[in-house]
Amino acid sequence: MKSAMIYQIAEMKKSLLIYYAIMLFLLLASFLTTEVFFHFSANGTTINGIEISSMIFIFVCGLNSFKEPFRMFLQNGLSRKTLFLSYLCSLLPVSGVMAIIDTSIGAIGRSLGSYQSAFHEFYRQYFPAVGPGQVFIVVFALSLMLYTTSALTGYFITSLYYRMSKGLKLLVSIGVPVLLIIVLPIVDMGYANGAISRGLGEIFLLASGVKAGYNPLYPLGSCIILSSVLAGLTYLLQRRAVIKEQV
Amino acid sequence: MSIEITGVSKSFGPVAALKDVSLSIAEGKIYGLLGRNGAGKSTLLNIITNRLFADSGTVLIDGEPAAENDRALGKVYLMSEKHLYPEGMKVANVLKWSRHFYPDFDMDFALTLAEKFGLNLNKKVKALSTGYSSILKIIVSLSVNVPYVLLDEPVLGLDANHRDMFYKLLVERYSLRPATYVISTHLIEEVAGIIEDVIIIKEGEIIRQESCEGLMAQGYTVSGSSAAVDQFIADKIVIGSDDLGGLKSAYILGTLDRSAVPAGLEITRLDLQKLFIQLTA
Repeated sequence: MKSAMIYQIAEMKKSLLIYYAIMLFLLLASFLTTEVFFHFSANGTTINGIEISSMIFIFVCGLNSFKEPFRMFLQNGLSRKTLFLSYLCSLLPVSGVMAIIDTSIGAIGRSLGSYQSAFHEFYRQYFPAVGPGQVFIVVFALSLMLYTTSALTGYFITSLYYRMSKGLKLLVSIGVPVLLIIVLPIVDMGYANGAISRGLGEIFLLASGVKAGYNPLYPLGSCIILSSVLAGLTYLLQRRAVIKEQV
Repeated sequence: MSIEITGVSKSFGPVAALKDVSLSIAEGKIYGLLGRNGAGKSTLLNIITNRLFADSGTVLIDGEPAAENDRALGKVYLMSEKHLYPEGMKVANVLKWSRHFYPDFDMDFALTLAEKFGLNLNKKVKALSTGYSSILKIIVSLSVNVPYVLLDEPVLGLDANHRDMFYKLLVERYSLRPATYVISTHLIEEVAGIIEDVIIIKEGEIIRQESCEGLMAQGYTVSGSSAAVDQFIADKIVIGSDDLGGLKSAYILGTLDRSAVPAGLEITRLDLQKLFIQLTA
């Protein structure tokens, strides 16, 4: 298990370093541009959204985290159960490190007056009311859970696609966007009188804590539930996965 | 200590790859797993190593179920025709990770072998030719130091020199640190001299599992002038023959009565490949 975790973390380490090198370069360039050269912050211009970039990055990492490690583990006498557990156990520290870096960048950026985290934007009613220590903890916890959920979403999708036949992959790749972009709005507006979109909106408002007065603890709970469901489904997909081509 | 396979069946759609296969692979022997293309050799090896799931039956490694069991699977290494290492991984990293996953992996021996075979450690796996890909797998197989090493077509793409090196290294390694080696190959003549037991698989069923000596003792080869050989084999079960000019070799199944062998005919061991062809035809 230890070797499996070391392998999983090593797989993510290189892309993580490249990602943060790029992000730090962009943040520094933005900071120099807005603060030093043009003094934009005097007009209220801020940089934000590193959390969204990190979510996308770790989602893509999740998408690329199944096939190669699966083959490598089977080649080296490790089970699917170890593959799955080692991914979960290595994802948490990776998400944690990313959350600490992003939260720290946010804290430093805010103190310089040129950075606003996505969470501060969304939960602007909550954060001014709490102390800086609690802000750090809440932003860290939110980042950690959102990154973990994003990665598990990617991991679930790639595991699902691996188990599908070529025909089914094609059907899902075309069918799901068609269902969401064309069929759902038609059914919603034509037959359900907007009840579906209203229902989905209600779920989002509840899960994100908006209905509870912009409480960021709600999305924490939502992410824990969603992560657990995704992890469970992913394990069910992986436990019977086999090497597809003749080896 | 053994690998026990009991009642294993596996189908791919309508094709039955393995039919109720039962066999025992004992500790410290070199086995030849022989069968024609599509006989089910690779499927069997993949099921033993948890890469495929059997439809029914069990595989026990030293008494423990192999399926999804790290401890049992850690005792087996399968060198398959196509490896499962990441294509972008460097050869040196394949060795490095093998040492991580197999605690007894002998890195010094692996590096010595890499030098002997002329394998470039800085090359990526995807850049290796078929021959050097086999060499990489051979190096890992011989260095991994697990009780059971399964070799599926180990000399694929190797030239004669490298094949010879491999067989010598295998025997050397086996004598220094005995383990069970199962060699699945089409090159029967090349492995005939090193295998102790033979497992012959035909259309998904094990048709023979016995010692190589025992199998070879079921017949003999008679050589001499064509006329004399033809006369001698007239009432015998002939599984094959080779003619060269006026000389002939015939492969006979049955017990030899040495007193009935006329002068001028030479009797030698049965050819394993000829016997294999006869048994699997």
